[in-house]
Amino acid sequence: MNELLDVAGLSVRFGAETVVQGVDLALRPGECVAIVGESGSGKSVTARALLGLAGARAEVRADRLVVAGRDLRRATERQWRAIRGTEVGLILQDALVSLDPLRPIGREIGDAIRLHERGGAGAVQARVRALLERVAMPDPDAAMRRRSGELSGGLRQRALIAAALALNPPIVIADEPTTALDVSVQARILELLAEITAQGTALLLISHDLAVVSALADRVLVMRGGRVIEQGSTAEVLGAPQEEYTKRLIAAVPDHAPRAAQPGRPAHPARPAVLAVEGVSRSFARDGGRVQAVDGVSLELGRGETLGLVGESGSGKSTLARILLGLETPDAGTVRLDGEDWAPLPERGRRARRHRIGAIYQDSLSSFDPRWSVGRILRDASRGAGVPELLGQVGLAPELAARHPLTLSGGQRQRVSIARALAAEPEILICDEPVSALDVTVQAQILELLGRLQRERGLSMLFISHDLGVIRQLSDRVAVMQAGRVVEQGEAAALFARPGHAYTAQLLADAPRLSVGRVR
Amino acid sequence: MSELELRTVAVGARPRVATVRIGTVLAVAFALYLLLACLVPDAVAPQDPNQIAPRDAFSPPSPAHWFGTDESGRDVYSRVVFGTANSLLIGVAATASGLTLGLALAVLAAFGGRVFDFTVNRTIEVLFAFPGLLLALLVIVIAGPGPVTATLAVGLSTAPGYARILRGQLLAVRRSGYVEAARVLGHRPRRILGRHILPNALAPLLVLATLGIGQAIVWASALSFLGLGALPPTAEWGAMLSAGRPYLATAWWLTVFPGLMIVLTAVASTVLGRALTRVRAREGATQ
Repeated sequence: MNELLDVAGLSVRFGAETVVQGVDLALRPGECVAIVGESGSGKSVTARALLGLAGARAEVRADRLVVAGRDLRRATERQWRAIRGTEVGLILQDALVSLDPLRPIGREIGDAIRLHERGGAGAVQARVRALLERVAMPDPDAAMRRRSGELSGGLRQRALIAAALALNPPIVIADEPTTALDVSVQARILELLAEITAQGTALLLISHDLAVVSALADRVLVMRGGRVIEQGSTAEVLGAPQEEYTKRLIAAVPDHAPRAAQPGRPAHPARPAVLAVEGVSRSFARDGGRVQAVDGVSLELGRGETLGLVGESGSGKSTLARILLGLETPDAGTVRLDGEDWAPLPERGRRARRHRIGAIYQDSLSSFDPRWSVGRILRDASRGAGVPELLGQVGLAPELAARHPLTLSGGQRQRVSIARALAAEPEILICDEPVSALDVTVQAQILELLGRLQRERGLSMLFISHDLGVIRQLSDRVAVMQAGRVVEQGEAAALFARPGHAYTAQLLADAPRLSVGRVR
Repeated sequence: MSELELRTVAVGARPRVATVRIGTVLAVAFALYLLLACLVPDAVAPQDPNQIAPRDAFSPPSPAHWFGTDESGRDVYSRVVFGTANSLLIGVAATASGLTLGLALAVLAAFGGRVFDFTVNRTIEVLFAFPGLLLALLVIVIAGPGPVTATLAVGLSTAPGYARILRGQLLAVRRSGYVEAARVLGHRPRRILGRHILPNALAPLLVLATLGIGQAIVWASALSFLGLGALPPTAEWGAMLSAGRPYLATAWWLTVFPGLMIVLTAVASTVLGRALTRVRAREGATQ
């Protein structure tokens, strides 16, 4: 047996609540094992328990808990510290909060080396530089002197991976390592992780994203409610799932046929434009200069159609959405609502028409007054419909009216957010990353709900997302934004089949897909 | 990860809700006592506070006179009890006027546009440059001594601090997602201000006020001590301190007991303010 990690019957309890139960896990050198599950499934707690980081109130039990040849069932905090970093490296989701914002990353990574090994300042520097080169950090010498906040998301994640690899641990645990990243950056990080496993490091990958998992993992464990409900090779689990839940997870991955090809929908609907943007630009002052957030964008949203707007973070999608919502005034260009000027109107003139455009946000919780109940939120927005009726439209029970949004799940909150938008009886719905913060199965339900409401009410919808799968599933037409410009737009099916712009092609190539029978 | 943390917090928070700190209980008890002393001083005090008895002058604390008697033989405990209303009134009124002025400045700065924001901020900074008590003294020099000016002076000197906190609150709430959501729904600015911005921005006001009352009482007493606030023979803690000062070496009880009341009141109101802060934070976390 040459297992680096050998765990049997792992369970974690917080007080009376058991969050992980009877998990068995083994990891060999050069192998990647993925734990898949939705939020609350216990996957992160499992990973943290392997590092002795489950928390002071956690009660961790195991029949066997061997990490790198050491039995850690009764390990003291001191023994755990000896394991962390040297034997097991940890990569977390959000590098921005995981790295000290006030120290240069070179110092931050060097700390790990100084803590565990001897060596002069020069030797440590050279090690850090080599590590940054290994994670393909561009210009490692300059990067060492930067603080984490001065690096982009992808580079920050590279720095964090470098820190995890600093002491050459045989095992690396990566907890949602690419969730916060754009697709193209995500693709580079996944390549990097694949390279590390190819060099012999064992990788335990925690993810809710089956597409990411299928790209990287040799074996997959599916967790639900604290238990492993299915496991096997990636090809077996994703190709021929046995459990109903696994099947649902796979089906929920938005990677299906584009919507325009669905029966009963004409591929080329000739629709009058209800919202039209022409030559719109907007720049902001930043760091002494100006940043062109939106640069000469022209778009048309037809009545009853869904226009998907794709782009990475910083591409100007959200600024464009704010201009359409009349929250931001463009520097140049026109916005017309039903053929009438919209953008240049004074606030007083806009107000009467605002209810015609509804908005759904990514972070619905922050869009609710923290003091208000669901019922009060909906009553405040309603133009006639009663609260139970509004809740019913989005598939929520009327009893939820008395609840506070904080006590609802992410999916329920997003439903309330949709109900609020509908309460104002809009013709147009602008959805800014409405499902990005949700688990796949919940995401699928919300997309289904949005699709149904749109058909029933003939809503025109602008759907903004960085997720090509989501866009593909819902959109009639798609526009691709890069650095403030729309680089390509067209019918969804045609655009996905034959991208005309190099950037679109790159986005499509970088998007991780659920693929079984992977060759590494 | 966030679910994990939320859960551990929730598990740990449950027993803490049941625990009421002993300090909070004592502070509540003391506050109730002060309230009684304010509303029905006759029921709490054994004597008329201004009843003189020259023969009993300067008697030390005894079962007949718990806090002793002063130079005219007046019962110090009764005077402390009857002084409660005066001292508290000054503290509460000063805090209220400070908050009102602070709120006015904050609203002006947050909603009055760039010019007002700049002006108000610079004004606040200038006021901050003076120690609070010095500012209060300045006001009294201009307006003349007396309980009303003392109250206003203390209020004015606390206003810049409140203004700065409230301005930050107003700006944060104005930029929040729910205010934007209300705008997108086409609600009028007045409705948004009344339903969202003010209630949310002013929510911490109660806590701020409780924390401020203690300080205001101390400052008001300091002004009375200097002879610039309540005037004799009015029973007021600061004035009593001042009157007892010449006898500090021979009759310590004339100064110690009023001073103790000032300290205890300030401590109690601070402890209550902190308790309120905790309750609010807990509501925010478990709602």
